Amino acid sequence: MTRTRSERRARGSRRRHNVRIALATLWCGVFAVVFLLPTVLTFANSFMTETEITANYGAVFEKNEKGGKKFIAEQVNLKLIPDKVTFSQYATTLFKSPDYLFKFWNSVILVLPIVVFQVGIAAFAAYSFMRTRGRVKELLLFVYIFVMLMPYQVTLVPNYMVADKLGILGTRWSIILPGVFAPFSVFILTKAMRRIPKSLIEAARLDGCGEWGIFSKICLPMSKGAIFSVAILVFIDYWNMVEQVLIMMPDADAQPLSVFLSQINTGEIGLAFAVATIYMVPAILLFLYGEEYLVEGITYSGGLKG
Amino acid sequence: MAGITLKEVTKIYPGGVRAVDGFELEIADREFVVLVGPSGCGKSTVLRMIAGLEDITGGQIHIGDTLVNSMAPKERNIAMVFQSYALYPHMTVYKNMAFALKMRGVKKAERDARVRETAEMLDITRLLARKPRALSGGESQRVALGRAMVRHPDVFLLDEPLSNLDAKLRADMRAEIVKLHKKLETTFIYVTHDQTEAMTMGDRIVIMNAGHILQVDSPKDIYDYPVDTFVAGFIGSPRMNFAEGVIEKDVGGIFAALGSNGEHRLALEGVNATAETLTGLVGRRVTLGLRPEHMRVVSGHAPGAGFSGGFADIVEVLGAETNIYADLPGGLRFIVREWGDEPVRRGQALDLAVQTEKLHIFDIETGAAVTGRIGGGAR
Amino acid sequence: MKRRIKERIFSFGYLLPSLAGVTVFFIAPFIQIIRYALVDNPVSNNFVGFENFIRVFNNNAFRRAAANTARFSAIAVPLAVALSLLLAMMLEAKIPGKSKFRTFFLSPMMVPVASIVLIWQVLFDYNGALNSVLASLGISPVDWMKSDYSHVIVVLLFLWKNLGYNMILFMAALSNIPKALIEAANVDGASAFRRFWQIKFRFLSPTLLFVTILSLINSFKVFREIYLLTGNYPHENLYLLQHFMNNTFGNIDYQKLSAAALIMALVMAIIIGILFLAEGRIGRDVEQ
Repeated sequence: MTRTRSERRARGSRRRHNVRIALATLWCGVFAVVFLLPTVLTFANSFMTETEITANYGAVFEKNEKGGKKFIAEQVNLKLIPDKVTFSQYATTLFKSPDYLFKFWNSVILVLPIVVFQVGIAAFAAYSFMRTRGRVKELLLFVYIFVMLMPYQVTLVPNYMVADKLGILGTRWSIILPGVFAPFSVFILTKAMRRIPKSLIEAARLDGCGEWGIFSKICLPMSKGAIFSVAILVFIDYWNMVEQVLIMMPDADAQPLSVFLSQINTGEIGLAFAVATIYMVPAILLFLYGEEYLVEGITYSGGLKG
Repeated sequence: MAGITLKEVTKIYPGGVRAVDGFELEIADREFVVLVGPSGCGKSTVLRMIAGLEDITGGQIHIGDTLVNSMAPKERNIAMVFQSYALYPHMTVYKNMAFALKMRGVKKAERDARVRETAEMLDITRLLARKPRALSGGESQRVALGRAMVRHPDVFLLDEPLSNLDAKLRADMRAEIVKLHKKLETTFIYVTHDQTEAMTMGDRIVIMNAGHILQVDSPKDIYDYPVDTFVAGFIGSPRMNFAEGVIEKDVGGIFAALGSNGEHRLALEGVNATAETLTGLVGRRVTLGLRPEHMRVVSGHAPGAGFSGGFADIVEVLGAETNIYADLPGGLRFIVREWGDEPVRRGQALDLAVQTEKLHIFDIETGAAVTGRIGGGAR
Repeated sequence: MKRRIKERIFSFGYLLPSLAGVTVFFIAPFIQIIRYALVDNPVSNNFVGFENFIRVFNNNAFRRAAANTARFSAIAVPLAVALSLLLAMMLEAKIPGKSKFRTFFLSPMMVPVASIVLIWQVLFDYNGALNSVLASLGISPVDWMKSDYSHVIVVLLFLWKNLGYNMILFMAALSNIPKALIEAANVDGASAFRRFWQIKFRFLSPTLLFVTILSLINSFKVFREIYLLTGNYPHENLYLLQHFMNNTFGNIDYQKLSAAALIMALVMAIIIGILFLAEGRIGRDVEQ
């Protein structure tokens, strides 16, 4: 009982601190469960047999077929572990219905060029925005930011009209070209490159580099992290595209899987889960191997001022 | 190997700021010149114009016999060491050092030989495989020097290269850079705001303020014969003491009266000025300058040879030496530097004896020195 | 001087590919849109002033869509900002497994929209999981997506999808607040509440602004999910501007489309401008 008051107060505040941490952890846990649930459900359901799926969700999807709206007392079960793990849905996707693979391929040939060329062209533009900062440049950068901030609803109209004029409406180009020139990467890479200390550029000039040398030997390698980051963000964005496709390319044959996924027959829900899981694979891989870059990219995207 | 000539060099930034105005300087081959001045005085701009990193608004710069005004930096065969070192973070030390050679198309074998030779010289061979972020400040500094040396440039430009180092390392590197200059036999131009670096390193010091050159001289001459109050105050630490006074004449000769009521009379016998100059000053107010090391703490002195009736207000014991802030009657306050460990205690009464031959007299309006080399007078 | 000009030309060369593309696909057509919005039709080209705008404003579908979109954004954006800041601050409180939680909260980014939609149907359908639970509690089921609650469901979806990204932005901003300032405030005895409002909030304000703008833009994107959930003509509460645009694309009424797009662009510009001004006042003293 010889504890001094200040000691007691220190212990009290430490205890309060521990309680706070515990509460924060608990809340984060709750959020985490909610956040993960849809992903885990998709994954788990993809290993269920069609029968099990029907048993679990039949109530939801079958009535859609009949067009009925009556509430069925039948239970919907959210099951995280399949009764019997099966790969039959995957087998169907991969071997029996080439349609899905074909749409997957559609996604790839739409998204890859967009990612590669948007980031590539942006790297050049960002270098230019970094090297000289006249009044014209700053104005142009402002225009880029303005275009970037405009919602789809605004930019899709001009994109549609240009596609119409160029006669590429309905083809892949009507999606790829506006994607390639979207200013998002330019904005982020400009911010990244403007963080390169000026003295490094000057050192490179003294060392004998011309503009191309400074760009390719100094700025590009130094922005490697930002380039990866922005590529991941652009990939995720376009991998899930829907609106552009609906407006520019209503023809189902060339549509990417992101759109087609929603058109899978309600009778094949299990299949839909399997296809969705397959579709998630590239994104999951990016998460596993590039999460740091992803986080860095998001961080780079914050704030509008260089 | 080349000297550098700057003629009427002027830099006006967009917006009209005159960073450098009519800069005239000849730098001999193999000379070590230090540009020193307060921040914003234009010294770095001069260096960057020599390097080709800034356009020259007016005037001419020659390196050797070549007019380099419109040459790109890479054509000038100069090397620069930056304050931030500017090492490429994505390259190893080896690649950093070899980069300039590679860009110049030097063959791989020779590149390797030169990098290793330089690394050996700077004792950084064991760092060659590291990336810059794994280097300490001192190591980065050496690598930055090495990167410049590998190129065998005509001129070395160093822009505050020691500012980011701690005090001890800075002192070591000062000596090292001077040694390097002797060994390399190349022209060095060194920019700093630190007067100690200027005094200890340069063959010649160029003191700048507000875009102009104030004085170009050897360290000793700058210290002994500063051309004006700015230079006098800038060089030397602790700073030179300044006090206003009136030059008067009586039967004993010419003396200066200092203090609010002329309490102190300092005989001007032996001052570094001709008799005519002194006579011409009689009856005028002047600024008097005395370095802390040119006064002694005494108790009593001959009339006209110092200041009396003061006391030690603050005593800074630095170990080998002691700085005493002495308060004197008439509102005078001088810093005196004494050797030894606490020769005076705080609050102690003291008198100050002055080495009159070290006294500086400046024009009160222009600040220009009246004293100077006997014979030549002020430059 | 000559060198400088050469440098300029070179550096514009690097910008050229991008600038050409942006001009062709965004800037030029945007100017075209302004023209379209002011004429009666692209062939006869008669200037009609604001007639097209008035036509759009008087269109019932547009008004409903605009009102719904505004209402949705007004609910979803503040929630997205506040909750993601809360999450970021919880993670910043040095809780165990911080990086795992970060991954979990980001995971919705990788889930394709269509499979989210499947799950949402399973959860919120008339015969879905939520109603099952309610039924067992004796509460009568609601057809969520076709009720007035449909808004809430979509807001949940929006939050689920966007909180992680916003949270990362806030986490970066929080870690950039100088530690010495917080410690100084601690030593001065400032309460947690004060520390937040007087120090953190000011340093966060640029990020706050950005997250708000970003959430606003993303709130317009939620059409994607609604479309996949409910098709071209959803419950009247969920008829958003994008539905209006989509259906107008079908009719190829360029004048109406252009006027509607311009109105949206203008509203966006005004909102962003206001946010910028507000941020300028709050964050004025802490920016470098």
